[in-house]
Amino acid sequence: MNKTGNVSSGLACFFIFVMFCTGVAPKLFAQDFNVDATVSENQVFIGEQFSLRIEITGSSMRDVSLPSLPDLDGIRVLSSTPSRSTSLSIVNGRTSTSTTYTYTLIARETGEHTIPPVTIEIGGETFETEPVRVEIIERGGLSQEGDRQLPDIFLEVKVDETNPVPGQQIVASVVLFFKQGIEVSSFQPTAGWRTDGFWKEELENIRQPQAETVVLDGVRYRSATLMRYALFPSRSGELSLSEFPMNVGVRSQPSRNDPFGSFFGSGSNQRRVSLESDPVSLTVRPLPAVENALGMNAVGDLRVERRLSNTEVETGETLELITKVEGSGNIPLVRKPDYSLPDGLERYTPQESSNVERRGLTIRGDKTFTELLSPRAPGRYEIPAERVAVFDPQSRSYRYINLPAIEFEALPSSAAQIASFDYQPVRLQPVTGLAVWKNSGSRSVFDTIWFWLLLIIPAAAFIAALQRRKLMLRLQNDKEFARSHLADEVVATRFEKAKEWVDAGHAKEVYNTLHKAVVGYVTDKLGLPEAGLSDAELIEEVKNSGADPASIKKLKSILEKCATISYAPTGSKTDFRADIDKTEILIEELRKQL
Amino acid sequence: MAFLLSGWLTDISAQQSRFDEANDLLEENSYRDAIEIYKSIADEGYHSGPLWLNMGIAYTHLDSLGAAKFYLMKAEKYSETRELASQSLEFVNERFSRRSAVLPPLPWDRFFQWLSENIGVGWLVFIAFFFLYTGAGLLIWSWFRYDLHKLLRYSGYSLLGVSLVFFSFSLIVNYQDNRYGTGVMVDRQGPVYEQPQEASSVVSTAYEGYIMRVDYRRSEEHADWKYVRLENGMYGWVKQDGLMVF
Repeated sequence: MNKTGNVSSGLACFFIFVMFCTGVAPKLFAQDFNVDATVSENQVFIGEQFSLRIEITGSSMRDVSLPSLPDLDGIRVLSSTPSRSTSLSIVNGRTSTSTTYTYTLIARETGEHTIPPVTIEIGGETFETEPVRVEIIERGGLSQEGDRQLPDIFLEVKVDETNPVPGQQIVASVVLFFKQGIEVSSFQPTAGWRTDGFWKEELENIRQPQAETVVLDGVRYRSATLMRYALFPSRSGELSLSEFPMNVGVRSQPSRNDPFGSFFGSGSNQRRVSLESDPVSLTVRPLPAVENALGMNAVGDLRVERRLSNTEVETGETLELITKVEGSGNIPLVRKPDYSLPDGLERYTPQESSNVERRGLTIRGDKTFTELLSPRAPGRYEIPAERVAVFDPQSRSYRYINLPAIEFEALPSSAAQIASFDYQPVRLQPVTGLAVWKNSGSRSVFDTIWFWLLLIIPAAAFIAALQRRKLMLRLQNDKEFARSHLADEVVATRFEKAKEWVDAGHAKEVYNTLHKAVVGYVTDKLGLPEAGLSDAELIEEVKNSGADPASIKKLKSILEKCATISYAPTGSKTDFRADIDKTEILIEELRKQL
Repeated sequence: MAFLLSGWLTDISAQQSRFDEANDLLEENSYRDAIEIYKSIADEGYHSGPLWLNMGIAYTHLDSLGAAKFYLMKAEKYSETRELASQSLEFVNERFSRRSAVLPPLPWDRFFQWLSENIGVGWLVFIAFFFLYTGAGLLIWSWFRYDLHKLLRYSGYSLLGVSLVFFSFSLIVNYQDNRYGTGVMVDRQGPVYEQPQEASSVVSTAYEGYIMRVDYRRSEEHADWKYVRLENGMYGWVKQDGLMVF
């Protein structure tokens, strides 16, 4: 065994020697060094001092040169000679050394500045640090008012999106702000953070919160993100996150050299404070409507695929229709798409399983819906192609994914064949031949015009009959009205009679009848006694009724002619007919006036 | 007119030709293909007793007994297929492993259901109009015939009253026809929920072939859900996927 070990160590020495000769070893050793540049504050006031620390760590420290500071824009170096500190540590037999050079700088010009890479030579090799960003701001904001408004230590919940859509992931960060001079030794969230309307998932823990400098209302604070949550709104509208409660252990004695480096460290004057953030309100926009696709409440960068477990199955047995949704997004909130399946397929309650990973700031994973289908009869089945919609919060629109049609064959099963003998439905006789076809576009009876017409007709008949009845009753009871109402009929009869006398050649009778017709009509209309009135009195009554003078003149003329001819009948039939016509015209005129 | 008539005849003959084609497929035991054609005819708005009957028979062969029952019940409403549909329904009903307890409907429910199924709104309205016109005629006549005044007036009022009753029946039947439908469970089984939410408590379970009365108006408020009254008198919500309604 010893021999073998010796051979191994010998071989190792040989390889190290070869590597040294070929130049590989020096590079490996060189890679042991790590050079890092940091500033005490990332945000400084103009005219304020701050320090630049250049730390060289490695297994051994050989021939380390002074860092070479480049020209700094807007920043002045107070002392070109840095202070130096060295530390040595041995862990598990491994030695590591650390040398830190600290320069004191002073901020000169406001704005965003970058300290370029600092060069340093170690063992003849040149190393460079990463550039460091520094923001120099005006001191004007630093006021007593700012001190009064913001407490020394407070908690805030910051969300990365205030107008999400339902299902969109937002990240809520719990950020602790505290003033210089306060050290945070521990934190412990307490129960009571309500996130109604959200599905909440805690993101991967932040192992060592990093503090950075921020200036709030002109006051410098340190801020550290302590926890992060992924939130998924489940509905649209105004939603709010309640106050986030947390107990924080603080020490009032600052550590000048490493203000936040002693996070979780121990110290004196320690006390616990209970903090609560302000509530946060969000306006969740509604999702747009899905067009010609199946909705599944999927939001994010998600892929959807669908497959069948088998392409052949015996009738009555089951096969699985598997839909898998994968990617980053609201995996747990995704619903099963409601596929339309062909007839003859039995569908059982679907099963679903999901796997969610919380890496970084996104929720990733997959969700699988498994539907058990069972064909009831043999044959070839096709599950039709579908189009499902996934909402993309980046483009704020739907991405449509086409799921192709899937076919499978249902084979007859022996059990089913046996059963089918009993089941042959001798009584099931289809009807063939000519069928009586009807069109199903029939409306309700009450929506048709004829229904309302038929309903109106009796109502109209009732109104007409009532009017008629009223007239008849008045004719019976009111004699004057009856005479006036029937005057037209009576005069028409008399004219007919007069015409008959004309045909018979009785001139005297013609004019007697005409006289009777005219007098009768006027007395009927004016409600005068039928007998006992002279022609002059009649004309006077007509005048009093306001008749037209021309008509009165005609009336007088006709009455005179009737009186004259009654005593000395002369003239031809043509004259008689002309007189009848004139009288008819007169009556027509009087009808309008009386 | 001739043009319209020829168009109508062409349409009818096209449906008949597809119906014949589907019947051939049915006889060749290609049930699903036959159903596809039957469905396409129905989708175009044409229907007939034989169409529903044959669809019911095709579904029976496919062992989709819920759907078979649904179409056979529809075929039962046509005089030409009533008897065959009843026989087939009897056969299908025998094959269901579970049958619902039946709570007899209330007498007036049965009465209006009978009116709806055997007379229909159209005929009820026609009868109501007949009595309305006769009654109105007698009443008007009574105003002019003093000798028969009393007889005519009472007869008129009586007939108007009868007309009003028939109008009321027609309105109630029309309301019920529009508000309620008949649903048949086509899934093997499905829960009946107290509320239209799957998280709600289950009041009963409906099995394939169960008949239920669907309340269209209440169902309008919740997409994908139907409010139903089961034959055993229980009310609840079922998912509409598992239900066929007419």
